[in-house]
Amino acid sequence: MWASYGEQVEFLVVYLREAHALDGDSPLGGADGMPIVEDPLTLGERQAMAQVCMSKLALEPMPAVVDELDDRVGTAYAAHPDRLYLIGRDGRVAYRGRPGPFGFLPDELEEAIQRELAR
Amino acid sequence: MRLTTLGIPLGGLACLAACQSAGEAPGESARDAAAPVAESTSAPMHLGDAGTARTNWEYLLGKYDANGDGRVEPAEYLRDGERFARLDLDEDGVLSAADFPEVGADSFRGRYRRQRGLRVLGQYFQADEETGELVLDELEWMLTTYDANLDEVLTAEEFADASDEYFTPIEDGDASGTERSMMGDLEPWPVLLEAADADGDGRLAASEVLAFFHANDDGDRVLSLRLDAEPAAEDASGIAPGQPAADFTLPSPSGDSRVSLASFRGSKPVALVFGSYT
Repeated sequence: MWASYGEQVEFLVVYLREAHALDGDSPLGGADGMPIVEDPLTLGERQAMAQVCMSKLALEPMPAVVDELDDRVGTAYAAHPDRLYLIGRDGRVAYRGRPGPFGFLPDELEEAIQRELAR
Repeated sequence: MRLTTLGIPLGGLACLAACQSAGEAPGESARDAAAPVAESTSAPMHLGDAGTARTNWEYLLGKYDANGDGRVEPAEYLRDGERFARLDLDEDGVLSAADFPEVGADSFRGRYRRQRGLRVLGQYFQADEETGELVLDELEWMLTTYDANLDEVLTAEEFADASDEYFTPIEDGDASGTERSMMGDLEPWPVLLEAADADGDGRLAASEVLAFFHANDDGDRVLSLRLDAEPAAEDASGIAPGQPAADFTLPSPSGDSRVSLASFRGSKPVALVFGSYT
């Protein structure tokens, strides 16, 4: 999708608090494909974790930012553990995905992008 | 969900990408990049590099057990004391294998796997799509139908044959986000075995399936398949369509720049992808 729309739409990863750090609220890891990580406790640690994530998932060309440790942006967008939004050129929300992981649906985002670009 | 669809897999950015990499062990990567080391409040974190650790406990032991006694004492644990207390499940003042149950219904992974097993049970044994409920009578009827040789045991072959006849496999675009995020690329039979095969013989006796049902049905002969942690289906949370997006200015992962959402206004739409590695 990024390859198809990257010229017309800015894709921005907003890196949040780990959903499944081993010392977090919902510890998973070591099986079922879940990486083993400790919860970043400083912004620097979270930034480093974001770098690892972007690298290991081969996402690095995509721009990314890291939410502050108080999770201010993730909270404002009710985005934990993950969520998709599209912000229109007018600065208003054009698409708000349902809360993840169940509502994290790239197909819906793509449809929203198509609608927004057609406006 | 295929990695290439967006460039980002479903739910916890790493989860399904890791599942889709055939044979890739957790913590490893196909890329050869050195894991960055971040300065922490007390000890450097080697991020994303779990080494040979296969479980959370192995990782912690390898990282903190300085005296090699198979336990992690508070003095050895170089992070926040509150986190130590959170990990010390049995509250005995040290971290040991007992604090990290990998199996058992009460472990977090046990509950996660149980939820996946319930999802398969509902999908393949005719749970009501609207209510998400599976009635015991319906399950008993389906077990009989699946059991081709009537020996009251389900094998992988019988399950596959019945699935082919009765059900369309979960496909991208057909299934809800729930099914995709819970199942990923997993085949249903192993997931169901993992959840319900009490004697570990690789087959499911009808009694095992029914026992799994009864373990989760609150005694009312109806299995509700609403997952424990499933958030509300309605999207009333967050910022509604039509409302101004909350502006923010945040640092890049490398720290060498800051990005402001407002800077894109008037030029391009912005797709915000919120998530984390786990």
